[in-house]
Amino acid sequence: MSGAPGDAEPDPDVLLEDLRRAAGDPPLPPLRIAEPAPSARDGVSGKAVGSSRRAVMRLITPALADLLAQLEADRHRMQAEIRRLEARVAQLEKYAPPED
Amino acid sequence: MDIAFVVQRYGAEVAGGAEALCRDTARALVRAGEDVTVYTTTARDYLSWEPFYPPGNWVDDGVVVRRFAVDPPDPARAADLVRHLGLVPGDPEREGEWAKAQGPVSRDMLRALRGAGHQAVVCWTYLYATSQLAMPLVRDRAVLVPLAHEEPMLRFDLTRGVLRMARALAFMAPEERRLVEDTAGVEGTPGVVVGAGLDPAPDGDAHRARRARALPQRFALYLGRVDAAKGVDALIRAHAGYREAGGPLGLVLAGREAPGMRIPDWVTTTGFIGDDERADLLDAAEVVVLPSPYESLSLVALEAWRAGRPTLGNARAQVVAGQTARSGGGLLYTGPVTYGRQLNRLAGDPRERRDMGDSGRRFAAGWTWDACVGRWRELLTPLRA
Repeated sequence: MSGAPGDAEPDPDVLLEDLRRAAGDPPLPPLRIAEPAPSARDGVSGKAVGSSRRAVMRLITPALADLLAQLEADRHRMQAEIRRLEARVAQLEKYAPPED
Repeated sequence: MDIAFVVQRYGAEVAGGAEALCRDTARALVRAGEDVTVYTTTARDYLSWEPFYPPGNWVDDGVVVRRFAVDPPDPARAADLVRHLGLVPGDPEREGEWAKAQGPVSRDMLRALRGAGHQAVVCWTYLYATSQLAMPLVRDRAVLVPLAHEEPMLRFDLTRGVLRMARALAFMAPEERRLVEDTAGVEGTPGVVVGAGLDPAPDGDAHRARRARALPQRFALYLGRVDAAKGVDALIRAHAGYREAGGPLGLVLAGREAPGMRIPDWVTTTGFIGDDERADLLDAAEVVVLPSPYESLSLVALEAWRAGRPTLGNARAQVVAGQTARSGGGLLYTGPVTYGRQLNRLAGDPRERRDMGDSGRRFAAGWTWDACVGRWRELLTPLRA
């Protein structure tokens, strides 16, 4: 049992920490889309450009996140498929007749 | 067997596919002789989690329901965090903050669950704090029903933790199983595609449907929440293109409208309908459209096939594509152009519609609660010890 000993109140933060430990490493490193870079300009125009970039990013985030989710699913599917094929090949090779 | 279900909301008044499926499954298991206790919240709304039901213990169709109050969530913060984490995953602090902000967090429920001695604890959906916080407490007998589809939250580390902690996994379709196994690397965890059952439906009567409402002479039917998140806005756009090209079928949307949906005048809407009218509309329709790109199981497709109606489904929904391929009960589309083409094909060929309807009906006949309960027992029995 986790979260709290005995009759103590279960602590959500401790339970979330348990989940983090259980997560381990992902099958593939996750893809990330970086925050928009700040403008190289100084002053008011630089701030305006920076805030415009962030606003555009906020606007397109749902569509981007959706595309990223599809892309991630495809990556993981392909990787898993390669793993399954490699296991199958290894199994076949185990029973293949020796070469002449 | 003494089984606990953990779910974010529960009750006849709760609108939500996952919750309805959880309730139907609990009642089916009880009918089959199992003991089921549901741990849930007092909420009906899935954003505010405001109390709707009183806290305490109740019995619903033989299922013991234990309701608990929850901490106030912060839905605006949760939405901000999920937007950020969708693009920049792998931030455990923010993921934890998201889980607590979205909720529902009920310490009373967690304490009660920890003290109970159920043989198996089945947590419904990976998405909410009820499951996320319960899993570590009962990990030695935890079963997860992910109800997963391609969405940013599926890639969170926290989600992978929930999935990897489960002793067993219950899926709705083989496509969902593959997605979860590939994304979280949980091929070694015992899992069963348990699916669902179909409750008996009243006999539909197209004449009665037409007497009750002004319906197009020939139409495609959408059943479900009328919501952009269900792909209905894209459906309306695709059907508008089909109409402009001379397509003969009208469009009927049968379901509760989400706020902010803009429905053109040429679309017929019914609002929320009961089971009798649902059956009547299915009898009157020529095709049932399934526009949602995100599904872990399409019960509407099964309903349509049981009524002998072919479906036209969004090919992006892998589960719908798989169900369609296995049943032979319909066609798929990939965008507005193929939507129009496939709808024309179905509208123009009554024999093909009938053949697909017959194939679908045979497929749907296998979706009984008895069969579903059998699959649940196959999954849960190893936890009995």
